[in-house]
Amino acid sequence: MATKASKTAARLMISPAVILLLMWMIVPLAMTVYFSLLRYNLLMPGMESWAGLENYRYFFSDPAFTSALVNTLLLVGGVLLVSVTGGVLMALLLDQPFWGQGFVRLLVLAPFFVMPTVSALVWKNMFMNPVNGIFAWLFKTLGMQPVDFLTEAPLMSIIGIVSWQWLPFASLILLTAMQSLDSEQLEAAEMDGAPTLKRFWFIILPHLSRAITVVILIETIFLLSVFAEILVTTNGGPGTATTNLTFLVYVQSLLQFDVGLGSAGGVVAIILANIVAIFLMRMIGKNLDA
Amino acid sequence: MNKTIRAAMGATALCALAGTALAQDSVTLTIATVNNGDMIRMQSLSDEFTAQHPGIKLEWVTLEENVLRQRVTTDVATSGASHDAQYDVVTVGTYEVPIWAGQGWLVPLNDLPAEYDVDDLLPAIRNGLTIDGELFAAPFYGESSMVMYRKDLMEKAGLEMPDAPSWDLIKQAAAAMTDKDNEVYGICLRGKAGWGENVAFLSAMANSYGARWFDENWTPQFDSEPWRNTLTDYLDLVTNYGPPGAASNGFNENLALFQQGKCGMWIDATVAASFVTNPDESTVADQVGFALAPDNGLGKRGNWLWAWTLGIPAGSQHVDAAKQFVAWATSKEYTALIAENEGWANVPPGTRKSLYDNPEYQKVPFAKMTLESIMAADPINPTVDPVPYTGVQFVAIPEFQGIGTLVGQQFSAALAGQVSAEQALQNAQQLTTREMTRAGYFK
Repeated sequence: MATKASKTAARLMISPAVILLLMWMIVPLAMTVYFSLLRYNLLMPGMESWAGLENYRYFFSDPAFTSALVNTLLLVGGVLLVSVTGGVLMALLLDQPFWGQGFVRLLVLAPFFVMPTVSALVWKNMFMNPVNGIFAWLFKTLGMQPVDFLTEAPLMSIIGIVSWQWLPFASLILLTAMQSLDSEQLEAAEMDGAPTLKRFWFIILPHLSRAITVVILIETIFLLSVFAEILVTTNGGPGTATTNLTFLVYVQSLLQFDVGLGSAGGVVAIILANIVAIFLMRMIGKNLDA
Repeated sequence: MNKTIRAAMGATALCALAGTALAQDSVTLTIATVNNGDMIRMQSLSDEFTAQHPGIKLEWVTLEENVLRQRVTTDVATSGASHDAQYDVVTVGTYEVPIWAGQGWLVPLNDLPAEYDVDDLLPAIRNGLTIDGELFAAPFYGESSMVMYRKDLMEKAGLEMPDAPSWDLIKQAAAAMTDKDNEVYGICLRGKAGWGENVAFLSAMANSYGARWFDENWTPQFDSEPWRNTLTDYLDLVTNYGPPGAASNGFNENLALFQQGKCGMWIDATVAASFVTNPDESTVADQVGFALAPDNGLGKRGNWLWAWTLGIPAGSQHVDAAKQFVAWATSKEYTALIAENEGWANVPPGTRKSLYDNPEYQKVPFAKMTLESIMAADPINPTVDPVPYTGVQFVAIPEFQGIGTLVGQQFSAALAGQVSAEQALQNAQQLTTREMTRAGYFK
């Protein structure tokens, strides 16, 4: 059992690491908050002045703000929907014994190792291009007009590209969870005459709930800050159809070089992300306590 | 301490001393540049420079245009005149040079060697880089925009392209050349949002329609009749005769389409001429004709003026070595070197009179039209009506990057069919007014 002295010693020894980690988080965060209260444009040096909450007022009244907020939520929701349902189906499929299973699993996992910029470029130029893309060629072969995905359904296209990247992750986690299910339980249900769908619904799915929670929590964190795919394919457009909060902050801080406004946007994004995180933890994180 | 350890320590000390001695002899220049063909060619010829200057080593940072601009601007803006800039030579455009020079971020280049021959630089380009009589950046290549068209398709359509076409003729030719079943589109134009993409093209086009960004009191002019005509005509041209997906096509996308023989006409940068006439890259290399950018008879043509230049940040620690490099890379000697290695068509164009006086270069099919286009652009008086700004396809104020990006988004939304032309212009007017108010242009 730990004595009082040994506890103190442990605290002392661990404190440098904790302090370092805290500084590593707090310093940039504090600087962001500080910059967000300044009028600070990189192209006008020496003109920095105290602005109070002006940057925030300006950020919230930006015509692109509402659409960025909606797009961010749609993007997160859409990708989660596709990757979780797709991941469950994929896990069910990969869980079946068949020849070459190992190789297929590897193939399914492959998209996760492709860099987001590379995958976005491939999707944009090889698949979705309305003149030279594979989809356009398919449509023309079938005697239909090619669809210009990135113009006609820009957000859907981005959701598609991002889902393609995250589906393997969900599949892998869910497959691992599925394999930990005791097969005797399923056999017993089968002997009692439970049909396949019911076995899935009442045994497999509840068993997967913790894994699904993990997938949703981890993916949400990353999906709130999707950036590369948007920059490479649509540049936030047409209009602001694919601008999410991250992209809006990028436009303000690195295209307009308005550090103050960009920082204000960054602070707003952090607060919103935390609200989403708390909400998620409350709603579904309970699963993790069990 | 045993002998081995002592020997090892001695050796380390010697190595360290030798290291410092070497470091004092040679200077390493970090050069930030844009990833286009001409710059990559310069990079591949760095050995020629280092052979002449044994004390200077070159380290290249080659980036895509937008990323380059972000990296270089943040580096230069945050280091200012203090001696800790990351880059010793930066590639900057004609938009940045006057703004940066005004902030004291660039080293003046008045003391370049006599053989550099500053007076040989084309006046239109040189003026844009000179502030209060001091040259702040050396032009690497200069460009305007012009019409590139397919001679065979024009002939098939029964039309003839004059050297100086009007917008009406362009519309007529675009309609006549379009053959969508065979994937031939009459006209390819930029649609991708960005101040250096669709806004560059549309601002230049607007100039020839009598439109301007701001009136003399800095009031945005997107609610004016000339802008309405510009945007309506542009949308008609691209939606009826352009390729699908035009709202995401920029310079590179259109270049690929033209090289594949899918565009009847393409109005874009003059530097593209060497790519579309290169038989290794272009399937229509022998069928390309050139004409000046169109006009509406109002006295201004729809062409722009741009130059990529090499400048030295005030925070550089190796200003002298950097000057030697800048002088070399933009010299006549460098031009001759490229001509010898890669042929005259691949020489960086648009910066020196002597190049256009050279009989060898005059044989290049696009040389004449490039020079005429550059001469036709006037950054001091870019529009039909007077304006308080300089710059043909941009407004040379720091706020323009932000405003141009926002306005470009509106134009590309209109091209994608998300908003009407009228709505896009109204939004552009509101956004521009908002940004200008914030920047303190009106009280």
